[in-house]
Amino acid sequence: MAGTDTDDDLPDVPMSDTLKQSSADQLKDADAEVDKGGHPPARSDGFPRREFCSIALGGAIVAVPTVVGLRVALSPLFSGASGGILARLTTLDSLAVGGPPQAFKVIADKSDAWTTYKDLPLGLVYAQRVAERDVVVFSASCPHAGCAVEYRNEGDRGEHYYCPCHESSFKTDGSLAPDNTQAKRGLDTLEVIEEKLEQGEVWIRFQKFKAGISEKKAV
Amino acid sequence: MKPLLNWIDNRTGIRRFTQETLFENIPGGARWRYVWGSTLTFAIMVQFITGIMLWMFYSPSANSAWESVYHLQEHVKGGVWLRGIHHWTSQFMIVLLVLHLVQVVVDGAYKAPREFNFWFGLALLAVTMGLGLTGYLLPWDQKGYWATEVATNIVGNTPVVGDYLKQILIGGNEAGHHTLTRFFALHAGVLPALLIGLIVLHIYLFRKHGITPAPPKTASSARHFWWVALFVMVFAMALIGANWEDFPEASRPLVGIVPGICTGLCLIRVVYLYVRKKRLEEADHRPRPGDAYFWPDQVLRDAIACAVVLGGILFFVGQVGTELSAPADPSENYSAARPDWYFMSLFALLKDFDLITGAFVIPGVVATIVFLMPFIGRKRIGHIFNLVFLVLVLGGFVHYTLVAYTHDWTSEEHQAAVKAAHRDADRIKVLATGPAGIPPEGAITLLRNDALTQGPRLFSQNCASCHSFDGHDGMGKPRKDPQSASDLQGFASRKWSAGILHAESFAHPDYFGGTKLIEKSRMLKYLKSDIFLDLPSEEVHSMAVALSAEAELKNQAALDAADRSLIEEGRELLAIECTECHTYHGEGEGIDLTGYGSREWQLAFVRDPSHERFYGKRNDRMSVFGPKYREDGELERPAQLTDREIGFIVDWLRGEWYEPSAWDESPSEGPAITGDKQEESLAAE
Ligand code: FES
Repeated sequence: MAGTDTDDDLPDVPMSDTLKQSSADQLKDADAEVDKGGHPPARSDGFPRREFCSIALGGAIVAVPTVVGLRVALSPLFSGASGGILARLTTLDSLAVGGPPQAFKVIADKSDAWTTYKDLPLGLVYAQRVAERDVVVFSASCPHAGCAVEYRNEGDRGEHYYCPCHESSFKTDGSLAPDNTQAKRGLDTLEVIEEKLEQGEVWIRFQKFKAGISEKKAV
Repeated sequence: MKPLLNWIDNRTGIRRFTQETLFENIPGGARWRYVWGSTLTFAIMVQFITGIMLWMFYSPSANSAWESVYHLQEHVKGGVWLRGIHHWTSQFMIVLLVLHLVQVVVDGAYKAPREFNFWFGLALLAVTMGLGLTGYLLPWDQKGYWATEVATNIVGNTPVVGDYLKQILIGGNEAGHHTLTRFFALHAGVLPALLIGLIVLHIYLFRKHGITPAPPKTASSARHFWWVALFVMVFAMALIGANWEDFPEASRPLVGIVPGICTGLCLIRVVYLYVRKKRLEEADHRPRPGDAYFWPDQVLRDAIACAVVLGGILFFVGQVGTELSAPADPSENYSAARPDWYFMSLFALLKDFDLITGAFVIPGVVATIVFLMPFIGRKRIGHIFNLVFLVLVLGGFVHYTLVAYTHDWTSEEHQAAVKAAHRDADRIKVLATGPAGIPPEGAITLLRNDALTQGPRLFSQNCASCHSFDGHDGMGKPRKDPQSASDLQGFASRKWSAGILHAESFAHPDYFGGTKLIEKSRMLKYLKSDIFLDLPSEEVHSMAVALSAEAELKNQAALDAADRSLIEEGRELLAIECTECHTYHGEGEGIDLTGYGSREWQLAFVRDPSHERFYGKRNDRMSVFGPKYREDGELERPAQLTDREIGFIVDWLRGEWYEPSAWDESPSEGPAITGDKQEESLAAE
């Protein structure tokens, strides 16, 4: 560090002096050798072949590990959005028509890189049966920045969803409440599988959506 | 020795190097205000040393990261201190960097020709914050997981490249193994390498340009300085005093003592400066000390400053400790999610501004202006602008940090969430030290299989709309609307059964007062009838004891064994008095009292309360939680709660969960006894 910018003073120091001297001599010798062989022929046709080759070769040998490394490091970019995971929540009967939303853990098999989990709790959703054959399921992941939204039922404030991180709040139908602060869109509904509903079971496609923006975009 | 040194020097030039390092010229002599750089270098060194040691214990994967940190903390001697020092040094580094920055700006040390050094310093601050952010996730606990969830979502909102950046950062679409491996690579590889590079450049440039000479110290300038310091501290103390009630109990000694000591020291210093005023002013007129060398004057000061920093770090490690919350669980609401304190102001900013403004525009503008300070500060007015700007930014930082914390401290919900989080964190440690240990799938399975953890959760989700537990929903949230079914705390205990055999308590909402059954209750009629009222109170007592004994509650085992004859008596009475409306050991008809409150009884009851063994047709509104069958025996719908889940609730109500005990040697014995509430009810007996 400190020595670097004082290289010019090196001759002051006797030992370094000799060192420098000798290495300079060697360099001169090397030059002389090149001289003996005469100028490289490349120069005569005006094309600096050696320089070009050095740079090209240097670039190539650096590029190989870099490209391989980057391709691997950037691999998540090529995996695309996940289509979601099908998961069973409950039976249709266990939800009362018009009853309050119920929290469910989404439990399904899932693989994460090298591990495949059986029956792993993946996340939290709220399910509400709004009509005889209609169930609405909200993801509990806050559309603002992804904290977990809570369902609350408080005296004067009534039923609503509330996010304890930055106080976003949502009506029971998932849309933004008047006193919402931050979220730009309502709670994300999750697809409820129609055929399963016919059979009296509530199945959903569990997926995540990009937080912070006003449109709902799967990630 | 000498020839060896000569030889080494000959080949390396080491002598010259050390001489240059140690005998660097310090114009105007050694000063305390030059110590920041050294304390920072020291802190970074500590981080490298402790970091590499931590590395030897850390395992970056979703089902072993928490476990490895836990193991280090609980089973490796000194592990708590190792992790603690690493954690707290990182906090100190941020503070030291900011102080250093402030000093550089105040002294105008950013001006030409030191622009690049200023920028390297800023880059160091950024890298350090990056290290803090990545390091927060590595233990893979609830706190780190949820804070990172927010942080990475913010990254995902970066204009233009956000989506890609987030994917690259977390290694896919969602947090998992690859998030950890990547954060770890950043935290232990990329960022430290950058840090070293920046420090080398920083110190190289610093050596090239030399110290920025500070204005000479005079007696009056020293008085000014300490007056300002004292004033700031008194102001801070006043603020703390005004908000004293808002500080959580546990933090009070700390928030009281630390600023208190600082204020005291400032006061002593001011008094000293006035007492010695004459002599100090005389000293001003004496010739100034000339230049000094780095060694030994400045080195001694640096060493003292580093020792103070280390003392501070150790104080925090010992006093506050380093939190490890429960293992990360994406399906478990973690309402206590908060980032590290130096990000709290940014976190609070997100409440007042939308995401782009709060997370990008405002910090971006601030960073740009700070970056441009060397140019702005070329003129004197610009320098003053820089100073004012810095004060505003720091003021804003303090303001938003305080806003965020006071909000949390005064919010009941947040406190409840923190409490729940601590409960899980303590519980997982108990379970992990238990005889079964941590399974290969990770410690989280322990919590998922624990009645004490899952029982109250399931209760609050499935039962608390009608029932309550000691007046709350099982998770500690006081219930707001009147309950329509019994309070199940201490169900089937002696206190409970005594309450059943009493008309007043029987008709109380804590028992059956809230149900529709109460209106035409034959039980209530019986309790009010002369037949019952004429029974001597010892007999009623023995009946209650005998009924409770049916439950075979483990925490009443000793009592039940002692009262064997009383129970026998009670049993006979029950068989006489109750079998008109109840089944009891094969006699009578009605709600089954055989094994009332036992595990089997409760399981069967929750599975199907409308079974004829229980309420039958007279079941009020209680759901059938088990599978429902049609008359012809065909399945009408599958179970709402699995037997395993019902088991959690029942075990929790019965106070049966794993609890470590000194004599518990055989793990196969299963859960041991406990439960505060049962003890309470016993005490009430
Ligand atoms: S994450 Fe929900 S309000 Fe910010």
